[in-house]
Amino acid sequence: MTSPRHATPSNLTGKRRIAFASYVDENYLPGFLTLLRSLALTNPGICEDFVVLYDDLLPASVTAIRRLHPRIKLRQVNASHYDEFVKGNPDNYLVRKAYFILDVFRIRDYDTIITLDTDMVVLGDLSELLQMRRGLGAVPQFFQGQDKLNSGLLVIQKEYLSDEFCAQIDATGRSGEYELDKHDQGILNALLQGSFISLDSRYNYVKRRLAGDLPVPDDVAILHFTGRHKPWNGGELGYSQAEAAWRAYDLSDADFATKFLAQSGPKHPELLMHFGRRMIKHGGELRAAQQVASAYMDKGGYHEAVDILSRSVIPAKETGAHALLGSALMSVSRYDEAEAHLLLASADAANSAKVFSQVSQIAWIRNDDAKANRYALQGLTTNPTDRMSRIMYKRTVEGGAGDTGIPSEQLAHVAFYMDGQGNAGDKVLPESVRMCFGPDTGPRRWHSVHVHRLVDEKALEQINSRRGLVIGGGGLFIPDTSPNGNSAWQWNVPDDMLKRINVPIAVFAVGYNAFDGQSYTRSRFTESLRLLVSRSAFFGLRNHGSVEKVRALLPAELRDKVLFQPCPTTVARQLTPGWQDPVRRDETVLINCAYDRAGLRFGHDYGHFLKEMATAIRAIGKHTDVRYAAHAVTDEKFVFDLRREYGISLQVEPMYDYSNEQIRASYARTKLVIGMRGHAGMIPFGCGTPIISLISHPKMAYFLSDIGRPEWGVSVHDVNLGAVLSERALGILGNHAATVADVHQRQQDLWAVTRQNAAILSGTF
Amino acid sequence: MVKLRAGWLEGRLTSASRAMTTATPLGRANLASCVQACAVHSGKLSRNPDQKRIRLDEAIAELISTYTRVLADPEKATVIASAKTTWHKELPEILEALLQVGSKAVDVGAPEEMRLALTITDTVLSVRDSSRAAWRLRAQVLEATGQDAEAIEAHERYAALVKDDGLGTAARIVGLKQSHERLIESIRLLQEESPAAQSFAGIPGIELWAEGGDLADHGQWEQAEPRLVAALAAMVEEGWSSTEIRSALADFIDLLLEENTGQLAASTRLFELYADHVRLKVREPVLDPLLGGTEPIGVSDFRNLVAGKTICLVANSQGAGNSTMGSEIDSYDLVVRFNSYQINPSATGKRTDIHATIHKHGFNWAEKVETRLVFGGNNGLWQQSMRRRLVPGAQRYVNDRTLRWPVRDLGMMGEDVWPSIPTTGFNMLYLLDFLDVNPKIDLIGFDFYDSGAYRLPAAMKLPITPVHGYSKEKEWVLARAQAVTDIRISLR
Repeated sequence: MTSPRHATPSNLTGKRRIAFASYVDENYLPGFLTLLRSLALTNPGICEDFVVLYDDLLPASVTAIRRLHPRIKLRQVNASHYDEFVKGNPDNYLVRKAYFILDVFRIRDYDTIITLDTDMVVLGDLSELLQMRRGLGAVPQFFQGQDKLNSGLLVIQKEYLSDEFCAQIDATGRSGEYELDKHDQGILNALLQGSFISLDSRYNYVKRRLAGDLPVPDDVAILHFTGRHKPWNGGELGYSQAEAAWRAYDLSDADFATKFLAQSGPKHPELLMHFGRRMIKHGGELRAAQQVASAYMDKGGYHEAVDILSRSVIPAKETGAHALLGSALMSVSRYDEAEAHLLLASADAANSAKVFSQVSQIAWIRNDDAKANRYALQGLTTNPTDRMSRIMYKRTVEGGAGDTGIPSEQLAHVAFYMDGQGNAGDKVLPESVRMCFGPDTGPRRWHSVHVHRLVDEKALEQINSRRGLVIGGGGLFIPDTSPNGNSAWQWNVPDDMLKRINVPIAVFAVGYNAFDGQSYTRSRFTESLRLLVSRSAFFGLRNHGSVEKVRALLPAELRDKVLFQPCPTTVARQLTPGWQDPVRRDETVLINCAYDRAGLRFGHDYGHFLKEMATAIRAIGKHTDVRYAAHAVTDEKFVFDLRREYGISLQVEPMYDYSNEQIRASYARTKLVIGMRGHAGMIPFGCGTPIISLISHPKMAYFLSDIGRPEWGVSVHDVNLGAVLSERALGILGNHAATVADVHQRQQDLWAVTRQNAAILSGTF
Repeated sequence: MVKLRAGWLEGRLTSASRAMTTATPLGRANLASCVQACAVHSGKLSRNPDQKRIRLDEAIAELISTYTRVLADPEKATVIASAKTTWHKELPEILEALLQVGSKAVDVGAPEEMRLALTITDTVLSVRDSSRAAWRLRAQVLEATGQDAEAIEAHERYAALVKDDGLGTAARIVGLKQSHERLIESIRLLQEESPAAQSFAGIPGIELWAEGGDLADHGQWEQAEPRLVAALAAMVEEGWSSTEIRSALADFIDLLLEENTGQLAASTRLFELYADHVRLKVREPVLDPLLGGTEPIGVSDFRNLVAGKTICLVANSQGAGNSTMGSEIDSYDLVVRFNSYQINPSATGKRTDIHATIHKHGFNWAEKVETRLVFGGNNGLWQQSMRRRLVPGAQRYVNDRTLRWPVRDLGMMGEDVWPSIPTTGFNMLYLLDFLDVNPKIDLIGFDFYDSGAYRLPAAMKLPITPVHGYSKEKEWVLARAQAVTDIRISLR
């Protein structure tokens, strides 16, 4: 898709973009390949872009490199740029090429770049380097004292990735006022004059320290084969132990993949997918297939997972593989086969409650509550405290509330209806949508259709017997949560059923969340989306970011059908009958954080985030009581982490147990909400309360841009998060009445759009 | 590819169990030959590096040493020499040593060791059919070897001899029965779906199995299937052990998976029966899966339940048991008691709102409380206790796994920070301090066992174990104490 470049999710959320970088040439290629293998084997949980600077690599070398890393970014160096630099001894092999790594400072696509020399091998955990946020980090030279760095490893932050710093490099290089025989390193040392962040020598442990065949100390994280004798060229006498450490990673692709997959502990899904795919294609084992399929599942590659696990027959005793295949088949809506595999997997007592709860979900999706209830009970029979089995049992035992109205006077409403203790935002949403269509939001006027349930003949008939169909709101255009293969978004509707809906359809305030990769899922989604737009009488998306992205997926003639319809929670003051703004507010600030997809949200910065939040909470807490709004039970991880790590206790408002009225009342009464969840921003805003969004997902940036207040957002990755957040929060608290007035004003614009849309809708509904 | 394991047939145990019920006296020769069998077995174990076998060998050495010691004592030796069937009474040390060998043999679990264990239970039960340990051992052996009916009988004999069912034998019996029924039902289902199998009736199972396997190997599935089904039915008919039949059934399902890819939905019922059979054999069903209306709660729910309330924790100490704190204790919004607490109203108060208990003892689990928090350091064993020990309806709420082990899971204090196993009391007070939502958290009678224990009589014999770091817990508590008296430590 040719969407505009400026709208990448990481730009919007401010997520820190990190890369490794090396300059690689043909002579040092064997060293680099070993470096890549060692990086993956010693840091299997880390997968960031790897920039390969080059000037003369062969195609076969590029293939070899790409095999060993899923995110290689090739970048040709500007070799001639360094011709004018004053150089030392012309016989040294490095005299020309050593300077090329300086090209790294010309890269502007990252916030942090870690450079590694190709004659290094990684032996230990590097996460500490990835967590650094400031300055230029390097290990001081071993033989030269603390004021000079060894440029083999550099941890470069944004402030050095600048035109200004490049100009200084060029000036020093051209002047020759540096240690000429130290090349790039000479220039950096001349420039920095010792002002760099000194890292422990274990991150760049030079080989010379092991002279006399010393063993490599246990804590060395990166071993650097400085000097002319490289291990791939026969090495050097007197360093056999150091070279053995290098040779341990000099592996064939097959041996490497086997070793990687055999390792215990968490592995980055992209690495698993990358190394595993080839291995399986070449006849790998079931264990490997399971790991790789499960990585695909994590990344939304459900079809790929099915393919991988279906390549060979899984013996009945391999219950884990059957359970995984069952889940994958369920995700692509091959329900009968999914059930067969899951039931086979229920032989494993330890995993049986989970498996039974999945069988129960399949039955529920297929509108068979009695069967769903039976299997939920089976799950509880093997583990009476299993959470999912409990949820499924309750969901199916109570039976539908039942419509009380006359079908032809009702609207069918496809939405995400929460179970008890579900996410507070999702609980408020369906009711808010209904308010846009009239004051009665109850079962007399509405027929509820749960978005995850399959639209079968009976469901279709029920929809068609109503006077219209409303779909939304919420972020329904995402592939995961409860994946299905029929539409590849949240509503489980096959195309032929969608085509047979003969009442007017309104898609209302739905959000689109970016899909990455996954060609099959993506094309299924696009087809379903096009069909839906073409069949809709009204198609309104909740922010302009979604409007833009969805339009890009549509043929020209359908694009104009896509309108902006703000999430109705953002105009609650206007919609709620008899709404009254609070006369006085509590002296409180509410904070909310979210932990679903935590890896995506925080990257390597969770420790930083928590620390900065503690700072902000202490600062704000001096003026106002800081409390915590938990939309979901899992949101409370923040409260527990904060208590444990910083001794701070926050009073919790358990909104998952609140009614919609209580949620709105709570948000209307407080002075400020600092929220990470989308609806922890939208609902308080709708109630007229000032907000600051902790941005970890593009949707909040979209919303703030829609209301013209991007400054009400702070990235969770912001290096000064604590200070920025305190300052803004205290600023708002100090200027509260005006900010509330501003919120009201902004809301008027959204309300105007909503009323305009209501006028369009009233023609059809 | 189809492997037949017929080696077990010779060791079929029906005859043995029949021998037992015919009450043939098994006298002196049996004890002697049993000890001799153990000695012979020991010879096969020498230099084996397997830990379990080494422990078995040690147990046998202990038995032989005990036995020879007895023979060296003229008075005791006559018990053996005169072939008295009362040896188990007069020589309890031999009984004990024999059962130890049996138990270690079951741990090894290999066929020869199982046979040895069975010989031991025969020997013991022939002179003392009220030996709980022997019946239990026997049930274990028979379960493992797939002698379902006999195993159930052994379990029932055991159950009849014990008062409380802490090991969940009743549920175990139900599980075994259901497991066996599912196996039989799965084969009946196959017969219904493959009517052609009938034409092979009367041919021995093994022959059919080999023939069917051969046909399947040569791609003739349509001819193979009815033979294999008939073979499975014949195995049931011929009284093979359920382990054998299950193994054949699993092989059959593997063939089905190979042959019927794409049409597996047709086999769903078979898969379910097979899986039920396998699972029920190792995990008995929870007889009341809804626990009589008990709601499982997580850490957040628990916090919401106790937030804003005054709370006291009453220790099981003589200090508390002999105090006059009763009415004061009952005046708190919430009263927490531990494990085998004992009520003496004037001293300890009457009410219990929260019963915090370690999972491995069953004291007070039937007492009605609002919330029961069951702690445990090992997830598998904790889950097992949750299945076996919870009394339906005896609590309104019970914790789920998020409250299984608060000091380690919530506090994330690993063994590097907190090396000893935290006590139930410490887990509880740590949890409350961590949640930090109570205006009052008072510890009553917490003297860290200085005054001795005050518990239910049946629990008095439990040792105050050294695995807990009482002094470290005391230090932690006192460092956070806001006020301390003889009887009360206030954390808020």
